[in-house]
Amino acid sequence: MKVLMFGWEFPPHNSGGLGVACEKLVKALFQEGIEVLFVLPRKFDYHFPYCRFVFANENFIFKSASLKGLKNFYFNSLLNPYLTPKFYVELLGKIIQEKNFSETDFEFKSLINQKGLFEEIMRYAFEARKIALLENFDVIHAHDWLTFPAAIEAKKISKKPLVAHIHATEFDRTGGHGVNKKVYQIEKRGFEEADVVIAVSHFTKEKVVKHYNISPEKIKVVYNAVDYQEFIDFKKEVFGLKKAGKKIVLFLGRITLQKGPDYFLAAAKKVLEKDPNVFFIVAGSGDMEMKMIELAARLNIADKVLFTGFLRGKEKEKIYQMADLYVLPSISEPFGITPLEALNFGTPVLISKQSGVSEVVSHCLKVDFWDINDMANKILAVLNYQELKESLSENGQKEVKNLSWQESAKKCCQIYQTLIA
Amino acid sequence: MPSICFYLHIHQPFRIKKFSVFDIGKNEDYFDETKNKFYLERIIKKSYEPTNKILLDLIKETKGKFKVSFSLTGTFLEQIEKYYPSLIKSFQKLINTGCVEILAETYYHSLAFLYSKEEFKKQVLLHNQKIRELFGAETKTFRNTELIFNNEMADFVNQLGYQAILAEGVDHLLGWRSPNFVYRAKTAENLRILLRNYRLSDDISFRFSNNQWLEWPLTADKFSFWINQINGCGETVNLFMDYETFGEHQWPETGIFDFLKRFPLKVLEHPDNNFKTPSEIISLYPARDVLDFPYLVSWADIERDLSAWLGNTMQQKAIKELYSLEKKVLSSKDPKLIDNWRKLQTSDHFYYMCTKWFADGDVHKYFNPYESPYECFISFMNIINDLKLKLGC
Repeated sequence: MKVLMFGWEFPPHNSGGLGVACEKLVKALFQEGIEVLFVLPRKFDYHFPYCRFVFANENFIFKSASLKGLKNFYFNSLLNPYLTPKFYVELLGKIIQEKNFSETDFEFKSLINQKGLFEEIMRYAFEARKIALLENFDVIHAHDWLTFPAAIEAKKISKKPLVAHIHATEFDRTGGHGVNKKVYQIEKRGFEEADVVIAVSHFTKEKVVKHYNISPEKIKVVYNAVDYQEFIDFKKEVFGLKKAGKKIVLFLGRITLQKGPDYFLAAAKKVLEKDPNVFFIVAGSGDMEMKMIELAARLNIADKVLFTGFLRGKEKEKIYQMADLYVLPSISEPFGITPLEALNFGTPVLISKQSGVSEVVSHCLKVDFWDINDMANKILAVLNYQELKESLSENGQKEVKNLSWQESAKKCCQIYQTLIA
Repeated sequence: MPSICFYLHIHQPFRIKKFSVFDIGKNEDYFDETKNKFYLERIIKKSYEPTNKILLDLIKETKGKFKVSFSLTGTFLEQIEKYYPSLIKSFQKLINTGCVEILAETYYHSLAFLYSKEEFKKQVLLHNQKIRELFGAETKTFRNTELIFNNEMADFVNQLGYQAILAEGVDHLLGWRSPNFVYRAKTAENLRILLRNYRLSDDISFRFSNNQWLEWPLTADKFSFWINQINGCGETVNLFMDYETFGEHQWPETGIFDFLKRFPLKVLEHPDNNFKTPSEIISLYPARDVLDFPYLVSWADIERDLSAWLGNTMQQKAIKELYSLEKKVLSSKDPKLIDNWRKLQTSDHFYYMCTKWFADGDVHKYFNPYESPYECFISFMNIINDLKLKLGC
């Protein structure tokens, strides 16, 4: 079976969990014998052992060769899953300036022709028609709203069934305040045109039913996962802070409204009033980063809150292991892979009840994101009651070991089967 | 010829409330009155009231041939005295028929025997007192929390003056022997052991509504036929179960109440069968063999051990911390503080911290008033710290 899959980011050039989810799902689908043609809007230099990469200009020139079943198509564009239309225009200007492109520069020309995020999406959709014409496939699978117009065009041309996979809705990103109408319409259209909608949790499914008026029968839940990863135990390496007997509480994720970094800091303030021997690490980047640094200063805890910026690879592994507790205080988290990553390393987790991941992990602590007193209470409990910390770590790690992307891929396969039968 | 010893256990804990680290030192209550009242009200309506009525009717209908035995914990009695005194009257009525024996146990449904014999003894005496006060009855038979039992306990309970104790009919201790006889403890010559026939007991309390079970549906006819089959190869059939079997573990829709109304009558149709209380059983039948309980057994789960209460490190930590305060608590001479400390000993708190099977959402989760075992542990430990603060340690 061949699947034409529309995505918008792929590791290592990803800004969040979506790219990771796509990569893992594609790999697992390959194991299930599914051939995936992966279309990406962004040109990057990818090096993966399991596929070769091909680049395209704005007119979609591809000389793609597939290796082991996966083909990637790239478009030059500035698509990023977490962009807002306004931010997109700003970013565009910045890049044009920075790169100082000449008039004849190929890439530059393609950029100045794009006036905004929505035009870009439409261009992506336009190009999708060509791919749909040129390629053979059985099912179309699209990840999140930016790819929906492209996938819908591909469906129109090919008459193949469409799976709309929703990783985050506009209501998650905005916390329900200031929902962008255009984004909402594209999402809604995608759900309506789709033959099956895949939601990453029941939490998300309910949102799609409630806010987009989609029939629950049409929506299937396929959870994200982590594949248990053997790791180097950095705990043997003595971390400076640990050596000094400090306790560490970690926030790792995009520093943006959806992830609730402000609630994290408010809880930190409460914790520090009881126990000054704690450090709070905020790892990640995002539009609220400066605001959070200011907030820490305003709360008078700036000396106890450390901002690390965006972390990858070994650095990320180290920070997970260094932490006594990982906190995901999201105000609306469709799934949330990071708690599973933390548990992989045996770091206990505290997650908000407003998250999809809380449906798959039971050996963790859960709070309402707004309940900073309870959040602080639970943080202190983990830091003070060794038995609690150990039990959460041991049982949580065991639980996460039972999860795998292969299960998610199997569920997708079942969905494909029902569509082509 | 078998006698049926039908025994029901009734208990309600004082569930602790969500107690935050920020509540420490603020003179907050430890127990969740609203929640406790809610659970009590629900269980009374669903189980206690209708079941008591059926039991009384059975006694009347059989002219006292039907007999039943109860253990009622102090924490349960205290709560119904406060909120539902009519239920106390209903129990008094039953006990006044003379067909009901009340068993002794720890007032607080605690695991005190494992941590402080002194405290255990005090709680047994407190329970005695309560039973005397409310029902004018003297207890002769002992049942420990969750039927937890071993050789050491046999000796201790015997010294407290009890003639009989209830225990689980564990296969690996019985070997080829049958639970349908009276036994004697290895460590206490005068103490008789009545063993729970877990097959027949669980047919009612666990399997009754299980339609995957080959014997489903269980009818009074079928059950009394199985009892009759024992005739000649057993002297007593000990049906021990939680009172909540009727109406809560098995919902009314399963036909459990109808079964309860009918099976005693069916059993009594056979002239050789009868119902007896534990004290009557031990005076009727001699001990047929000596039993050795070298390690602790209980009636819980498939493991029949203590892992549901003390299986993980959180449970062990919580209970150790609690009992480490014994001396200081008692020497405070503060009755409210002592009572609170004892209410914290109720085994349910530790049961709610159980993590085995937690992820599977089975029975442990169903009866857990907390969102997770971790939530319970956190509140419990915060309470311990509040208690420590009050004690100045």
